[in-house]
Amino acid sequence: MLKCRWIDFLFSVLPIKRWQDFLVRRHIQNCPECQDKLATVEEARELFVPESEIENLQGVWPAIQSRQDERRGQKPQAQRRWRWAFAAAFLFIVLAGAVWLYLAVGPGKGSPEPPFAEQFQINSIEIDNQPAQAFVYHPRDSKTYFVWVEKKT
Amino acid sequence: MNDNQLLRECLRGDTEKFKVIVEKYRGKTLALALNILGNRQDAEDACQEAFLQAYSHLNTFDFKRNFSNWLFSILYKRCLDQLRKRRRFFVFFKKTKSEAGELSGSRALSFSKQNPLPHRLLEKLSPKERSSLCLWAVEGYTGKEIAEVLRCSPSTARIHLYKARRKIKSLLEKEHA
Repeated sequence: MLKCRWIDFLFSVLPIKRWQDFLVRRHIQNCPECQDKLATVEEARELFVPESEIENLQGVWPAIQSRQDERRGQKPQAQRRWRWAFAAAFLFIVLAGAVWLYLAVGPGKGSPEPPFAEQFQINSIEIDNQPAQAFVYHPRDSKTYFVWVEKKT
Repeated sequence: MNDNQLLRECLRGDTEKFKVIVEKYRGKTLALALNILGNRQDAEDACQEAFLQAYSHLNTFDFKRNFSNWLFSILYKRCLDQLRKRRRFFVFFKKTKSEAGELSGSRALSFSKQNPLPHRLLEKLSPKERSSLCLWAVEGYTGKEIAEVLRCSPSTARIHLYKARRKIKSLLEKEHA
């Protein structure tokens, strides 16, 4: 009896599951006095509604089937939504790329062709009836061209 | 055909076999849910959810395990969800009542008595203790099997069961005295 009280005290003073389980397995399960303090299977069973007394669950299967159908219906819808979103995003990226390309290198942009007047051509250069070498310089941001001619040595 | 054979057939595409499973377990699951929740409507919802979840996750079922334990563990989780929902509702209800004071006394009484458990003594137990006790007393489960349903260690399950049995015994003695 004294031992049982000690076990009770130790059970409540240390609320650690493993310790409590140790006490249950070591003492309480095998002690008739401690077992008297526990409800028996019959006593516990009386508290619960038995399966036989329950009016059985009707229409579970149709409910499950309808829920399944709902889910099946929702899935393709969700998939379709994703496909549309993906296509729209792809189209947007393509369009954005096209616009950017147009703005970057479209007509009126990029390296402009020089006007006709600025074009000139040197067919041949001679110094003292001998062919000479020509060098053309065009400073950046300037309309001036320098032509340097020197006799071939 | 045993459960595993039925489930294998079901996984092969014969969905009608799951109907057999539902027919076989609907009574047990409803009884367990009703004993945990104490409300027929909530219990039916929890059962439907559990069967539906079991059906849609059938491919994850480990055939080395017991199907009923697996189904009961799903059901137990759904019951806890229902209890959580109910608790949230009661918190909301209490708040509404205290703030607005619009609901009449009779209405408030009907809410508090809305979900009586099969036996009022069971109200004194926590859902874990109630579930452990129900599985032990009604289904004849051992601590290890209870642990599988409650998804806890066997020692924890044994402690829940011990506490439940002790509480119930002292309450019964008080009632008889």
